[in-house]
This record gives sequence, C-alpha cells and structure tokens, in this order.
Amino acid sequence: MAYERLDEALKMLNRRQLLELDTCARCALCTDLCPVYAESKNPLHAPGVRSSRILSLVNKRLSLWARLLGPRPLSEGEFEKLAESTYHCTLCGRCMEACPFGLETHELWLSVRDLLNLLNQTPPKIRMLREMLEENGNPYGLDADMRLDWADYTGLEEAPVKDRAEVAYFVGCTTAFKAINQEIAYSIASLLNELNVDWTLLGEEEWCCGSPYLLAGDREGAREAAEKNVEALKARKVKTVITGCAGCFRVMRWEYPRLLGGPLPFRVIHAVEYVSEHITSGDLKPEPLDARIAYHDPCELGRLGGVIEEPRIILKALTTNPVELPENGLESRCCGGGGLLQAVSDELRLSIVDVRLRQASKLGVEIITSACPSCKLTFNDGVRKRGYNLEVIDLMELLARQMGL
Amino acid sequence: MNGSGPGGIRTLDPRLKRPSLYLAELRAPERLKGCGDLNLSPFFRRERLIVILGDKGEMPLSVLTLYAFSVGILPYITIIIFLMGVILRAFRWLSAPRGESPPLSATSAIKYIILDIVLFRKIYKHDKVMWLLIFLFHMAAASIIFGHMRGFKLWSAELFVPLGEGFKHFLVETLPIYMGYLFIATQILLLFRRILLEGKKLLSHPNDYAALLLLLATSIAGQGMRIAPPEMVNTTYTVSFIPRLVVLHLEKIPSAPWFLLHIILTQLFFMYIPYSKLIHIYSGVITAALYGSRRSEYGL
Repeated sequence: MAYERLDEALKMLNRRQLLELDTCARCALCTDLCPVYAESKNPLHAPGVRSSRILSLVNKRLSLWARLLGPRPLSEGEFEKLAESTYHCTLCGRCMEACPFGLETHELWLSVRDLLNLLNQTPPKIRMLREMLEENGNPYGLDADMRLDWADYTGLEEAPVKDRAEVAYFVGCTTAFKAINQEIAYSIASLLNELNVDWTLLGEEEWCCGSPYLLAGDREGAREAAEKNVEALKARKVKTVITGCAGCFRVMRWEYPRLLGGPLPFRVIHAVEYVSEHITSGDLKPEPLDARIAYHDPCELGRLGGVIEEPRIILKALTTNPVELPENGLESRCCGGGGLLQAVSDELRLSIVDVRLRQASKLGVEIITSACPSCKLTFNDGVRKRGYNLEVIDLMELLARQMGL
Repeated sequence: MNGSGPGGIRTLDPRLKRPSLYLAELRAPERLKGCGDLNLSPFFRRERLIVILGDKGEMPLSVLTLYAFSVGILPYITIIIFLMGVILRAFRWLSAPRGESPPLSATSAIKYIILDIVLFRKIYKHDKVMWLLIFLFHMAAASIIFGHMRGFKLWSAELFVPLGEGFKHFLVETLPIYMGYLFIATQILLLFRRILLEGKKLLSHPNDYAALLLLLATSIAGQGMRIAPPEMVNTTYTVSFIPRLVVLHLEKIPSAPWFLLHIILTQLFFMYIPYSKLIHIYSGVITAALYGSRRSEYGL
C-alpha cells in the first residue's frame, strides 16, 4: 500500500521544500544543537541525515531519470528508517534557527509527517493518538463534557461559558485534562476575573486546537479542528482569544490562517502577552519573591511563536532575582516535551529534559518556570526522576500565587 | 616566426629563450600548413586552434590532442552537462506544487543573505572554530573567483592603481598565492572534518566526497600554475574556450602541465556542481532570502 501511494505522498513536498532538502542533505552544521541527536547520538536522528533519506526517495521516484527510465527500487526498511528519523524529533525548530541557509525545517519535518501519514507509516502509538482525536476531539481519549472539570477540581468560583464575550480563554487539552496543569487554567481564569474582563470559556465546544493532528501528519484533521474552534469563537463575537498553551498559541496564531485560507476575525495571544501589558500598566502588582527564578522559553512560544520579551517582563515583576538560563530566547534548548517524542521514546524525552534541568541547577535556580503545559509536564517528570531540588511552576501560576489569587 | 621544430612546425615567437613548452594560438587554418605529418585529429583543423609545441620536437600527439580537446571541445561539453544538471534540478523543483511562501521582503532578504550567507552569523554564534574555517574557506574561494575575473577582462589591475603601485602588486601578485594556500588548507581541514563525522553526524553519499576531492584537485592544479615557473613571461596569451564568450587573457604563458590539468579539472568541477551537494551554492542563497522574508512576515 505504501509503495502505491509513494509518488502521491512525495508530491506533497512543495518547491521550496525540495530546494530545502537539496540544501540540507548531508550537511551537519546544526547537528550538535539538535536536542534529540545530542542525547541519542544516532545519526538517523540528525536533521541532515533525515533530509538525505527523503531526498533519496524523491530521487528514486520523481527525478527526470526516474520518470524516463522508471523508478528505482527502494532499499529494505527505507520507510521504517524514515519514520524513526522523523518521529525522533521534538519539532523544536532549533535546526531552523541554527541553519545558515535559513531552512524552514520545522515546516519541512511536519510535511514529512504528512507524507508518512499518507503512506500509513506513522508509529503505532501515533496512530492510536489519531484515533482518540477522531473519537473524542482531544488526544487523551476523554469525553468532551470533562473539559470543565478542572474548574471544579481547582475550586474556581467563576468559570463562565457565555454566548457572547470580548475575550475567550482557550484552555487547551493538556491544560484541561492533565491534573498537574489544571492550576494553570485556574490561574489564568483568576487573573481574568481579577482584571474584570468580559471573558468566556468554550466549554464542551472547545475542540483540540489541531496541534496534535499536525504532529501526527493529519493536516485535514487539523483543518477540521480549526474550523470547529473558529466557528465557536465567531459565534461568541470574540475579539481576543487568550491561551496559556504554547502549542495552541502557535497553531491558532500562525497555522489557522494557513489552514483556513485567510485571516482570523479575532486576534490570538498568549496569556503572557496579555498579562505583561497589565503588569506594565500597573493593573497587576504581584508580590515579588527573593528566590532565584528562571524562565524557560517554550519552543512554540519563543522561537516558533515570536513571544520572547513578554514573559521576562512578568518574571522581573515576580522576583528580585531573575536568572537567565543559557540557550534562551530564539536559541532556547528544547525540554523534550514536543513533537510527540514521548509516544516513541519517553526515555529520550527524559534524557533531554535532564540537560535543561542540569543547566538550571548549575545556576542555583530554585524555581523553574515556563509558559507551556507540555514543558511543565516534562520538567516535572524530569525533576521527579532525578530528584532535583527545583520547583516547577507555570509563569501564570506563579503570578496568580503572588497576586494572592 | 623564426624557430623551427623538428616536426616541421615553426615556433612563433623569436623571444622564446628556453622553450620547454610553447603554447601558441593559431588564428587561421593556413598556419597549419606543414603540420600534415602530425596526423592531427579533425578538431585541430578548426579555426582558432591551440597547439602545444615543444622545442625539441612536438609534444606527444596524445597531449596535443588532450589540450586541444580541453579548450576546443570540452567547454561545450561542460556547458551542456552543467545546463542539463541545472535543468534536471529545476525540473524536479518546478514539478512540485508551488506551496506557501512568504511574501518577498527585499530588505529583509538581503539583510539575511549578508548576515547568514556572507558572514555566517549563525555558525559564529554556535561554533567559533568552525566559523573561522568556513569563513576563511569561502573568503578564499570568493577572492580566487574574483581574481579569475581579471583573466576574463571583467576588471583590470588598474583598479588598484590609486592604492599605490606596491599595494597593487601585493593584491594582484602576492596575495593570490597565499589565498591559494589558504583555500587548499581549509578544504583539507573541512574534508577531515567530514571524514571524522562520518557515521556519527553524517551519512555522506560517495558523490559528496567526489565533489570535494575534485575541488581540491582543481585548487592544487591552480596553485601549481601560480608557483611553477611560467613558460614565458611578458607575453600575453589568449585562450578562447568559447569564442567571444569565454576568453581567457593571460599575462604570461603558464606552466603547461599545471595549466592543462587546471583547465580540465575546473571544467569537470563545473559539470559536477548541479549533480552534487554543491548545489547549495545556488539554493542556499534562495533559501536565505526566503528566511529573511519569513522573518519579516512574522515581524521578527
């Protein structure tokens, strides 16, 4: 089956991407910065080697020679190796930032996932995840009516689901369904209440943002999810959508217009952007701590989302002792929590986060913050595994705590 | 027109004192009268023919043939193979769907071409030693290409006259020799790096090595031309690879073996570019321009 659809799959790569593959193949200038390769030391996980593998398929099937003389046979295990290479990647975009040729590798690797999906070559756990997405509209296989359970668990008094509002808080699946992250939702909701914002949740009408679909190579699924969410938001005449999840933020802000073929009727911002404005204006005045606190830039918020300064404004309001981690901002080192890496190798994910936690420990960091539920989850797992003396907390949680909320 | 070789071919320049080899361009076929005993191959009889003559007898016919071939025929083959490679690549690129691309921002595109392709900003940020190596390699390559342009009359040494005669001499005569050594040394180091990374961070294709070795051999032959004593000084010499289009003007007659080797290898290298990873010479500039435009789109 895979062979039959191979040409169709390879034709999913666009002109720019073929140009990028030609430029990327067998170059190793970014390899040392790849968080996955740094830990696995497996050449198959190096970005340039991944490009070579795809290019080899393209040459065998779509080159002029192949068209004139017939396609060349594939070598044994070629798809399996490509799938291993493609899914042993956190999609952090570090290779893109390091590439002297400015290749948009993040998008390229997503397209390769599309290609593998069409060939039915995605790893089994990724296929399971897609099934759950299709059945429940979230990657955790939970019913939609459990989306607001976090409000009960955290004791939030006011969690409105209105027909119309100025602002919508898009919670996201990893925040709503993962117990460890539900305090993030509580904190953002409390801050919105504190600011007397006319805001709403989407409740059961909130659908997966589409990010896991894209990571699993299902662009059509992502488009459908985008349509559902945009419809629900449009119906409420929302002007601003706030989310506390870096993945939701990137997909809604940057991918939705592409998926839906036009600009959105509302602006999408991350909670840190919204809150930093209110800190600067003096509307929010948290009690600063004296602890050494570091902010870790989530890849999808910083490098891939363009939000870098705002979390630092918040951090400076929260501590008299902010610590800047090495490899920050656009150069941020991935925590390991992205790209669905956990589904193919949890061990590797924990090994990657350990590097970041070591960096923080060396600097005497007492509290490590981020602005992404996946980062929080991964940091928490890493701290538990190695017993680091570090508190892991989301920036919004820390802000709410220092506001006494 | 005074000397006469044993083969009955007259040498063309009386100033030639020790003509171990003599390169002369015959502009008209009648000049070949008396050369019949050489049993020259057909392309020798064409107009604008170049022949290598020896002082104690003509060069072996095989070398003569090779030389004539390399300046009379090979340039056309080079162009055909090069263009074919470019067409094959372009065919593959253009047969793919157009896809989404950022709206072109000329300012941002130029900015990031300069920062990332000329200055290698990103490599500098991450690996200073690697940056130095890559920067020196590319700077040496750029200066060598620039130097060659003088031979093709795209600029003249007079350009440097305002800087003083001494400095002009340094730029035109001395510096190129050091650039040649630098170019070769950096290539060898980059080749070693590739060998060391092989199987760890790289899984090279044999043609990656072929391309690098070809470039190295071309550079060594070019440097050989510079450091080996020329056949003759103060004699201008014109090599017409493609009449009126690619004509090389030399200020002295170079050492023939190195020259012959250099022009053959250079053409082989050119032919190979579109089929190898050296295609990044072109594609890298385009992708860097797209990157700049994307950053502009994202407001970064």
